[in-house]
Amino acid sequence: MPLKSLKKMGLIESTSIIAHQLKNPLSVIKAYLEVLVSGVLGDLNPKQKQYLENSIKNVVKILAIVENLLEVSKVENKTYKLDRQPFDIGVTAQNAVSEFVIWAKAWRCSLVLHKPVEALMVLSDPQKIAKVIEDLIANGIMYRGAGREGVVEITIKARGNKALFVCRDDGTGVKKNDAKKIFTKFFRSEGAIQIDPVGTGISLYLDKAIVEKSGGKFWFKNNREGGATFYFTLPLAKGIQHGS
Amino acid sequence: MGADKTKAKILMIEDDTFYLKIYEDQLIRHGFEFIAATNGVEGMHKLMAEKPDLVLLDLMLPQQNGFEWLEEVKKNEKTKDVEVVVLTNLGQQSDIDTAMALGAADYIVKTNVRMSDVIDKVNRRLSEK
Repeated sequence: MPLKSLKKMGLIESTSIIAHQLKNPLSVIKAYLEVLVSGVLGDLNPKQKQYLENSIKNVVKILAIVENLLEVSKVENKTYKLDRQPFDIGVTAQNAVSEFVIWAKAWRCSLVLHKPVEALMVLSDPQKIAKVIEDLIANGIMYRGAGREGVVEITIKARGNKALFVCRDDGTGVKKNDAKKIFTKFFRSEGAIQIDPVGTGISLYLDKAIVEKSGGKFWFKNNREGGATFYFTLPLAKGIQHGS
Repeated sequence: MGADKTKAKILMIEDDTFYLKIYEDQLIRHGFEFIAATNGVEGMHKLMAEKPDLVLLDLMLPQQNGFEWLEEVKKNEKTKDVEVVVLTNLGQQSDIDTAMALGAADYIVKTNVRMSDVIDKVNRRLSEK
């Protein structure tokens, strides 16, 4: 085995071990802080309470980073597992849209979903695909000029033996320089950092891995009139016929 | 034992003593009797001797892991009826499926919930009995 890949494997393995080992002490700290903030051990003044709450928020943030590191190491060492089963991607998308409606309103953004009347059964991991769809909708809502009204339009249709998912926004789009790096792990564009300073730059990397592991493709294009459109395909569940 | 939770006994099998300590404090504060074990062997011994109403079981334990412990408990006529709630940092769907198939009553990922939610769940489980 070349030295380079040995080194790479070592890094991935050690990342995974460190991430696992961090989880336990972090969950201990979280539990202790939660008891303190609950006030059962004595009343807190508002400032004390606020400081503890901020500490909890940051522990939760570290835990999310640790979780992401574990996911990345699983993708990299090819142990990332999907719980494959047939499901209706239209329903998954509908649920995601419903979850985001209020949040989108706060961003002055409307959500539109076009989906076939009949079920469009695909074969993949329904929970993980729900996460992919949620990530794309969240990005579409979030990455736009501050306070500008907008629309995120989601379309689902059958195309040959695949289902095609399209998420089109009218936001800031992806800069030329960033286009090649957007699916790289931990990459965050300057524009993205300005809009959401705490993002981890991992979701698109993982989303692409989930789709590709399912046998689909994941890509994006900038729209001529502004904004970007993200696409992915998934294999249709066998034995279920759809018109194209 | 019905809704009289003041007499309910909880056995917690957990190798992290900091985690044990805070659960001990809070479960006692909520009126439970608390029994601690830091590994599976000690847990099995206390399960037999103390006959707890519910077990909070970590999965990553020294010597015998939580899955093996659960399997052994559910295979044994004398212990198979005890409610075992898994409380762990392992969050993979395959781990959840395995534990539930082995007979766990519930599966809680430590980092995903607040401690008060765990205590609420324990309370609900025991009051439904």
